[in-house]
Parts: sequence; structure tokens; C-alpha cells
Amino acid sequence: MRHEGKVAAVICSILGDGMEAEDVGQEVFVKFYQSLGKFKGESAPATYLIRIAINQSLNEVKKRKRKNNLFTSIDQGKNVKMMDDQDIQNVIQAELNKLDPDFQSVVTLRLIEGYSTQETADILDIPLGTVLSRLSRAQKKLREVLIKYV
Amino acid sequence: MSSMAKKSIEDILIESLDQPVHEGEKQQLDQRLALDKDVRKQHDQYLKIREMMRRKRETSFGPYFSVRVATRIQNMRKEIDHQILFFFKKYQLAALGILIAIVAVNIISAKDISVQSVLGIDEKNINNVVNDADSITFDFYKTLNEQL
Repeated sequence: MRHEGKVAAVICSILGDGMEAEDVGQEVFVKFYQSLGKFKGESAPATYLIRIAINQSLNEVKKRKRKNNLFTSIDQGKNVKMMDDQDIQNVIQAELNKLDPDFQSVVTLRLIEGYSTQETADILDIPLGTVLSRLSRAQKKLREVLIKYV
Repeated sequence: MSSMAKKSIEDILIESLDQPVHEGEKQQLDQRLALDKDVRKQHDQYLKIREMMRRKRETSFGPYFSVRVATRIQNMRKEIDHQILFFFKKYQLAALGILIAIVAVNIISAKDISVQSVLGIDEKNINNVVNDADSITFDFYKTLNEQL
């Protein structure tokens, strides 16, 4: 599938790797298939797919929060210097999931996946100014917690 | 240095990482970066955090993902067909009963048992139509001459 990589990247950024991420991935393509009749071509199929992926992933986050299911066990006592890349990615993911979903989607697309601010605005169907203000507020919050890892 | 001024420069700094800022703001930021060690440190921290967050490897759902999606869609369609079938199954028996009742009433009320009586077609009407058809005459040559 042409856009599988992009969809997988977005979902795994929010939910982490694993079977649940793949389930959500399948759900995204099924939803896309179901909504093909409504798809008017106003945006590129990839944009539309990523939008569905973001929404489905954030729904999954909400479900997990309700179940009080932590995403990844993080060893808070672990020495920062002993942490490898995977540990740091787990910390980032855990901190991201503490953010408001609106902020989380912007940070995922812009800072993790590297979409431009305009592409992020198009995918989320929000104004560019909103993207910038959400990015600014999210980065301030993330800096407070991630500063010790840099 | 007031906290308001600091906040403002932080906002400009963050914004400058995503898009070009206004000329006045850019000058203000460059000046502060050149003179203020804290602002420089803050700038470096934001850059490092962003670099740390950026995805560095390709992600995929693994082999045969498309096959799994296609199977799921096919199963979903089968499920819908099954639901439709189940919905009408409830009415199948009732419909069959009504059909048998109609045929039975037609047979009982007919004078003689024939296909027409079972189907409920009025035999008199059929005969009338046949008789009317016999009485219609059409002279092709006469009509042709009249037209010419």
C-alpha cells in the first residue's frame, strides 16, 4: 500500500509499536474504504488518510486513558545517562500522551513526522496560526520535562 | 530583564524555528541571541529537543499488511450480506404463508382449475380481449392506396 509507511509512522508516534497500532492501522484503511463515496477529492488521499490516522489514534489514546492503561512502562529512577534511544523515545511518547489531543496531533505531525506547518494545517483542517500557537505552547510544556534529557 | 520581555522573546524564538518571523522580530531575536547567554541556551535546548523528537527510522506494519486489510474489508462485506439476509429471513415464512393463502383462495373461488385461476386472472377478460382482436380488420393495400 502506497501510504502505509506514512500512516504507520503517525500511528506508532502516538501509540507506540505493537499489535494495537496495527489494528488501528487496519481500521484507518477500512474507514478510508468506507468513506470513499463521500471523498470529494478536496484534499489529497494521503492527507485524508493521515487525518483519519490521527483521529483514530487519539480515540485509542482516550480509550486507554479511560482504562488507565499506561503506554510504556518508564523507569523513572533510571539514570538519564544510562538511557538509550528507545528509553528516550518512550519518555517522549509518554509526555506526548499527557498533552491535550489538539496539541498532540500538531506536535506529532510537525515535530516528529516533519510535515511543514502548512501541511500540518491542511491535514488537521485548522488555520496556520492555530498550528503555530499550539506548537509554541506544546514546546514550552515539553521543554519543561525533556530539558533533563538534552 | 522583565518576565514579559523574556516570554515575548521565547515566543519569537519558537516561532522562528517553524517559519520566518517579521523583520523587526528577527532583528530583536538576533540581537538577544548575540547578547544574552540565557536566550542562546534556550535556543539550543529547543533545537536539541526538536532533534530528539524527530523520527529517525522508517515505520511499517510489516509484510502482508495490505492482505490483512483486504481480508478485513471482505469479511466486513460478508458480514453486511449476512445481516441483510438475517433481516429478511424473519419475513420469509410470513411471505410464503401469504402466497399460499392467495393461491388457495384463487383455486377455491375459480369455477374450474386452470393456470389462470391459480394466478387469479379473470378468464372473462381474456376471452373479451381475444374476441375484440378477431373483430379488428386491417387492409394493408386499402390503407396504402389512401395514403398515396
